[in-house]
Amino acid sequence: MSKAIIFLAPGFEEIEATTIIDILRRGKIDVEVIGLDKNEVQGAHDIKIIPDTNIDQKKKEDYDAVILPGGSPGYKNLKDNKKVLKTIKKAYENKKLVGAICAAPAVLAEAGILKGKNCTIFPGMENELGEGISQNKLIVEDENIITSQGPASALPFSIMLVEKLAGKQIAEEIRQRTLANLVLKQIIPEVEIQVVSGERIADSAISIKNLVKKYDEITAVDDLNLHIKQGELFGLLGPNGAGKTTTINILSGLVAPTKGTAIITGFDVTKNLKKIKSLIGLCPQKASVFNFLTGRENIELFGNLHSITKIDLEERMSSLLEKLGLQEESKRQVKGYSGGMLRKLNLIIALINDPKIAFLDEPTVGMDPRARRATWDFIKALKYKGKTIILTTHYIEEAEALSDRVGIIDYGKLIALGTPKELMQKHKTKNLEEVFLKITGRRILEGI
Amino acid sequence: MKLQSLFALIKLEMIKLIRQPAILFLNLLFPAILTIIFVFAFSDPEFGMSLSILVPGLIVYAVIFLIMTVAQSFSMERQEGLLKRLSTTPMTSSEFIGSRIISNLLTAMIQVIIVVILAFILGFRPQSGIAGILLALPITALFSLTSVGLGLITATISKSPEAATGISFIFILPQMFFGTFIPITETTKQIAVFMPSYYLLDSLTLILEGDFLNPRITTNMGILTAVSTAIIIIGVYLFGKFGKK
Repeated sequence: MSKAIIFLAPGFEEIEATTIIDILRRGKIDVEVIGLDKNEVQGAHDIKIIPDTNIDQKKKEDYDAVILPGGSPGYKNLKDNKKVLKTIKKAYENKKLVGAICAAPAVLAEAGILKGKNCTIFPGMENELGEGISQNKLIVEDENIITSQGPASALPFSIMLVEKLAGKQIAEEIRQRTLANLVLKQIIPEVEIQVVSGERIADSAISIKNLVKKYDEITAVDDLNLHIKQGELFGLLGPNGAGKTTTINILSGLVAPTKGTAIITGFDVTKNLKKIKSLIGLCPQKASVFNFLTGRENIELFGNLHSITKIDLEERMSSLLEKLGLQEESKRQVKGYSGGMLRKLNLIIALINDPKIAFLDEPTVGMDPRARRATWDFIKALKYKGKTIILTTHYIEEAEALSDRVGIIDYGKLIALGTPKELMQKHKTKNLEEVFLKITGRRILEGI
Repeated sequence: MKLQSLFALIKLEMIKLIRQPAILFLNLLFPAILTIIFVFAFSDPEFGMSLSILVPGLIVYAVIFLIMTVAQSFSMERQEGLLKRLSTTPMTSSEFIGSRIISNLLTAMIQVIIVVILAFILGFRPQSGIAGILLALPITALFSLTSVGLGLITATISKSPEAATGISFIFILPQMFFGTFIPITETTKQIAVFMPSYYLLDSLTLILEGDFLNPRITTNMGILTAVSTAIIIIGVYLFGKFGKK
């Protein structure tokens, strides 16, 4: 039997709390209601509930889900409670289900688990989602986090929780018995369309449709269509002037497309640029750093522009400098750096905001073979951490070694797409370089 | 506007002022050297130019040269891809331009302090006392907006930092000849009235002479505020539209 804990703070929303408790218990889920007040907890509409236990008396034990009802000032009281925040963070990190409805997603943001996550909240409170990606949907699922706008969505939200904790069949039985479908279809006819499957939204980190970029008479990107999955390491290959950098520049908001759409984690690059900038990291082809600053000062500058707290900034900076072996040199002014050191610093700056999606444009150019291999390991580690990485490179063996999938573009068009193995099989070649030569008819380094 | 971003960008500019030799020379050492040379060369009574005319002129002269450093700085950052890189962060245009304005206001005030201290060492005793010097700081800072705006316009039309250096003289030279310590006659005044520096010079001269209540100061400030605002708006607009590429 699955177990869920529900936090009740003074000022909770009674309908949401009781609906969730009721539906979960019907789904044979062991629900423990934990109060923030001793004895009874008073709701936003003066209804009092006696919780099963109190947060100060709660013993450590395992559970499968943490659920938060909304209501004001209930959600503020939850936000202010360090034990609640700690429990949420721990549950999220341990891949337990975390659910919040109405105003309560703000508590998840406070716990720091919404960064880069698709989520929703009571309409008008979107600014409380912090670094979460606000979706105007009734229910949004992203990995192990389910958020809901509430209060009208308390029923489908609860049923979705049951589905996750007890399975589809039980959820469906409850749905039938509670007439949830009928009720919801009367109140919110489009509820089934509005309930967003996490897989659908979260699965596609980048979605490019009919993308065109023209510079006067030159078409740099020509009707490009591409979907890159979340957590994928995607190699973007092409001869010089094929449109790789232009594509990356469009995706990172540096260049506006002439036509078509580019969606990054649910946001249109032409409409939600500020949000996108907080979610991406760009490592440009040319190591663009301030040469009169030290390496650390450069990193601090970009960290501050991303509004990273001092403690987080120091922690991330030390970790990245250590991983790329740049600790000692980082104290020196950049003007004395070698090409390889500049590339490393360039990469660290791109990753200082802990981006969900990293665009690495020729990240290993100018590095010696040893440093290149070390950077490959570093990039692989990023992928294992769940980052989506778009890598452009002139080193075909680099793309072959690192990429889950590879896209080859030429004259702005996508001319091949697949895993390196698939492409080699399809074109009957021994390696990716031969595939490249075969379909572009040119060497990748041509024109350098 | 996020203060964390703004302060980070101001810090960047102040470090640049100290660590970039060309900028350090133009903004801080050049006014110091000029003050020493000009005071020695031209403040001789036989030459007919008193320190009370020279010092305001030197302050204006120093601030005019901000046009060049602002233009060079923007052009260099554009050429090095730094502007592009900065624009991949959530930093807003107002934070970016705001930081440049504030850092140049600070630089202008440092220039006033350098010129006045050196002139004081060399015998300059303003009638106004310390009050006049304190009043000179914000007025000069206001004029620095004009230099930032003209610097942005210069950077917009320059393809490289080298070109920016040359083109900046289009804005520097007229102001230098018609609005610093070079004597203005009735004939040249007809041109000088079109130079923003003329109004700063006139105000500084009156203030340092202790003539605080002279109505010309208010008029000059009104003109300077209007001109500086207009130039900075034009500069920001042009650079935002055409200067980043």
